[in-house]
Amino acid sequence: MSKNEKKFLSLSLMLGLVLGVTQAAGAMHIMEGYLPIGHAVAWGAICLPFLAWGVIRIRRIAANSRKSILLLAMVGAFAFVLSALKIPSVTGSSSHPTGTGLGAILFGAPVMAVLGIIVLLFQAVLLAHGGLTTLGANTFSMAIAGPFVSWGVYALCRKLRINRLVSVFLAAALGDLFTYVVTSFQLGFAHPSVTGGVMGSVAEFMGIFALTQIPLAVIEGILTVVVVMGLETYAKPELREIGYLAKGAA
Amino acid sequence: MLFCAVLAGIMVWAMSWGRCPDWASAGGAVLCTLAFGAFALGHRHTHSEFIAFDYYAQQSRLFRFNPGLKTIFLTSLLILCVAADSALTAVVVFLSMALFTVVAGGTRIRVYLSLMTVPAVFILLSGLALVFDFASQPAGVFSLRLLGGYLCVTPAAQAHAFLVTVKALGAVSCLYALSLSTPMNELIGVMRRIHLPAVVIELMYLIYRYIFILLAAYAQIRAAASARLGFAGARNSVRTFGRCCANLLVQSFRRAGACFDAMESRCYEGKLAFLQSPKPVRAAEAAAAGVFFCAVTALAVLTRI
Repeated sequence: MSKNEKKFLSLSLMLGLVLGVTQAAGAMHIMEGYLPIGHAVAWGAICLPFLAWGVIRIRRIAANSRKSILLLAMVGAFAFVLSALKIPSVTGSSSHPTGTGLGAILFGAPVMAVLGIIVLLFQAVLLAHGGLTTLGANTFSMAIAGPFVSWGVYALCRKLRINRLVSVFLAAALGDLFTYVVTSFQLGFAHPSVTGGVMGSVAEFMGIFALTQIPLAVIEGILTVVVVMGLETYAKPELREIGYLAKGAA
Repeated sequence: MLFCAVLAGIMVWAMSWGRCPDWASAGGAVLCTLAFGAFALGHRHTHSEFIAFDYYAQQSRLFRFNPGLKTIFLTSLLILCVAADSALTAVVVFLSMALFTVVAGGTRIRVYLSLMTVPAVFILLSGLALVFDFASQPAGVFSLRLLGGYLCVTPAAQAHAFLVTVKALGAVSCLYALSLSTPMNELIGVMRRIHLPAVVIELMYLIYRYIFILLAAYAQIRAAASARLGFAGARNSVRTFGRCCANLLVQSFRRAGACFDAMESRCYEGKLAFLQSPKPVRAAEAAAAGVFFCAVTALAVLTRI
């Protein structure tokens, strides 16, 4: 092969790798069988306290009003449906919104952890996205780490009196980015690179994800803002009911 | 999808290069590309297939077996397949579970292959990141200069990628054996039996039901929006998509309200109870499952030594 041919081949391979792997990651689910069993158990154990917190909160919500449990179920179904929809094609690869940032802003992160694990379970069994052994790891990255960051960023922005829509954008986009950072670490720990070790592998996964995930995070942020704008226009009573808008607000 | 087919081919080639004769490795890659490509042409990537899962499960001959037995057997086999770290075990699990679903269950082979393609492509593509390695020095059987470093394929990475790929395939086949023989309401019933918190069980039933309601609603919303040229151009698409989602959430809130009124007027007090036909565990079935599991465990132990 001549030098130019080699360069061409390597560039096309790289492009393929980047587009292919990010597409394979889908909404950043880790596939069934991709984690050693020890990691799978450990990630599951890390999720437990958050899930317990979520269950306690949901129990309290349900005790106050039976109706909110139906609202919660609807939001869970909404997150599933969102994750099964395609965002209008951006880079030629199809991609899916996570929708967990929205849920975290509306309902708080602990509740989202429980809804998230249920949705991930359905996705694993019905779509083969993710899996049973990787359920813990996926729950941690997508239903705990991301939503908690979104929740924190949103609360912080509100404290700093930043415009509500800007806060929503920041919360959703940063939550999305954090999810992918956590996923890169999970994959890096599980599959350390032969030459570079754990950090080399983490850098590799992050590099691959970064190219498409950063634009996607921005798009998810914009979409979440559009959704919230739509909700504020059409669903004020419901938003007040779930406590997103203050009870007295016009 | 055609693009994925080419990548799957690259994956097969990278994984087998230098381990078997060059012609075999290249031939395998071309075959894999053609197989996926042919399938891609006759198959559109949709997410609506899972709607049919319950239908296939009810049709399956394995439907009449006790759901608890199936769940325990298949999840423990899945965990064994992942934990064993042995390629031979994974291949045995994959083949036996595929046969179990298609021959014993009577799921049509076309259906099974079509359901299997999506995860298979995902698994092969994810394997690409494992088989290629980015290093500052050329190493292994194959390396390419790129951006000041080397993209290389080492024998160790090849072996690792192969093991992970077959493990993932075996695990997915166990998962499918479960979801193609047990409808979701029975699976949730099993989870109730193992005493998951009642509120979680209730949420699962409701979410599962609402997914179908929302998908139908979304199909209508989307059709209406695209009939009004809402998806003309990228800018419009993003805006319309966001509005569709907002509208869907508004509708889902309204429907949840209506649903609650309907349930409350039927004396809903926080517990959903469904009539499930009794499916007792037969001794022969349990014994067969146990023997098979022990055989696979023995195989896993033997291959590890």
